Amino acid sequence: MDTSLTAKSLSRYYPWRFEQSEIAPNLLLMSKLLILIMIAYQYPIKLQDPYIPFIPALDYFHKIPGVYRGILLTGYLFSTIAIFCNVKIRTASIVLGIVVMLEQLASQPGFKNHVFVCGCFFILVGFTKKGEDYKFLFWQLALIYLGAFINKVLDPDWHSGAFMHNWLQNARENTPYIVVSQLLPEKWLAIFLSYSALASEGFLGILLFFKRYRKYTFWIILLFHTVLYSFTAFRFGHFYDDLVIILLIFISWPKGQIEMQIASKYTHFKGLHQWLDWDQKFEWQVSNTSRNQWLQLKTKDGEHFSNFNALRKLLIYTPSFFILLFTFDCGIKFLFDGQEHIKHMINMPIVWMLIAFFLPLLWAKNESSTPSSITNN
Amino acid sequence: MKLRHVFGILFLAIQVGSIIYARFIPERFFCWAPYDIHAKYNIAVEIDGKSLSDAEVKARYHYNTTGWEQRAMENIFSYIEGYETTYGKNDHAKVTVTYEHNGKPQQTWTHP
Repeated sequence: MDTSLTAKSLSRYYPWRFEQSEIAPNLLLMSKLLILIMIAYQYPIKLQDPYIPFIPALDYFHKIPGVYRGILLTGYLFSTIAIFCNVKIRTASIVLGIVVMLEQLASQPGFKNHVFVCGCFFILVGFTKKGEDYKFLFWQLALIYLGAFINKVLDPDWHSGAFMHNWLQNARENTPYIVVSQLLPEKWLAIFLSYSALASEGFLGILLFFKRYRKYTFWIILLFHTVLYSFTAFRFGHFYDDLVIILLIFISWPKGQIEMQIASKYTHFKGLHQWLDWDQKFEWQVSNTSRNQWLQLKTKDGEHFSNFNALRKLLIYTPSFFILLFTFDCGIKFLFDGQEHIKHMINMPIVWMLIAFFLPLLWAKNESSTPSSITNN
Repeated sequence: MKLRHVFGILFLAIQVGSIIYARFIPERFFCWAPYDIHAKYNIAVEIDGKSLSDAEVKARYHYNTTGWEQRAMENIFSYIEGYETTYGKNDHAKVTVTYEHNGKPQQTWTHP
């Protein structure tokens, strides 16, 4: 047997391959990162037998210890391995989603919104197909914001600022809140923050139903949650992580190869990127282009960007970039376990520098209409 | 319409239903209402005149004996009712939960 042929045919099962699957690469990347964040929070060892379940019938398994947990664990292991090996991804995703739902239904005290959200997205990924608009995933996000908005807007404590004041002043002992609120009339800051959260969630809940505003929706979600995270140094379990990972659904992943052109003096960057381009999606050309055209990116979908915008797009279309960010974040989490202030001090500058770096894409113009030399060399 | 689209819509419709249903019950499960309240609480359990330790209470309900609840106090009452009417019904436990909902004056909930 030709060994190179065998290696090539086996390569589609490599965990860090994202192209040539049943679902869009960004959805596969999202699914794998959601699995990893759950593992980082020890989800597999938290799978248990029913205990005060939502469905009384599940209590039947309470009498036969280990069976329910065994079923969940088996389903969990098979589905996560299948997703990581790119085998029957959609089916495996539905199975994994069902496992999460069954785990959540099996224990009232164990119910967690940050786990439930992962289960919802696993199930809905199973209902999507490559090439389609994954509107179910956007509607799911809209439901999350609308559900949160409806619950808050009908609660008088959100209008009076009582919730916000109690949370930040008493529960979190949040220094920025305590300092600023002392400079203002009683509960003004709490009321302002309450209405800001209400307005943001209500607005997002509606905005998510409109495809044409997705670019803006992405940034509002990211900024809303990052400001909240920065202010409170709190991730709500792994809810903040989940949402940042779920934002991958907003990427319109380009079909086929991506053509890159780089100035000859930067070829070392090309070498580094090729090492990280596990799907071999990028075709590089080195040229002696003018100084103001040091990097160009062109996709088969008609996207054409230059220089820093090309670099931003290059990173966005490179799954390993997100995996490296995730690995770094997990490294900080484990290295400084229990030292929340240190973690926050390290994370904050990095998170805001990344946002500042990618934010210009909000107004970046596609240069596809301008004459291009990238494909004709 | 394809079958997977039907399942997708059905799955989302169930969640819409649970958001609406939550308007008619005090508990907040499966309705996307995380961190909408903050209540400082403490659970005390007494069986045959003897008070259980914090560790024993935690083991009983699989939930922290004292701390901050972020969804609804009725969620905690639901765990306790769930336990005391099933696994622990022969213990005839007396449960007292004291809590301060969103920083308001202390309230008490008891079982039975």
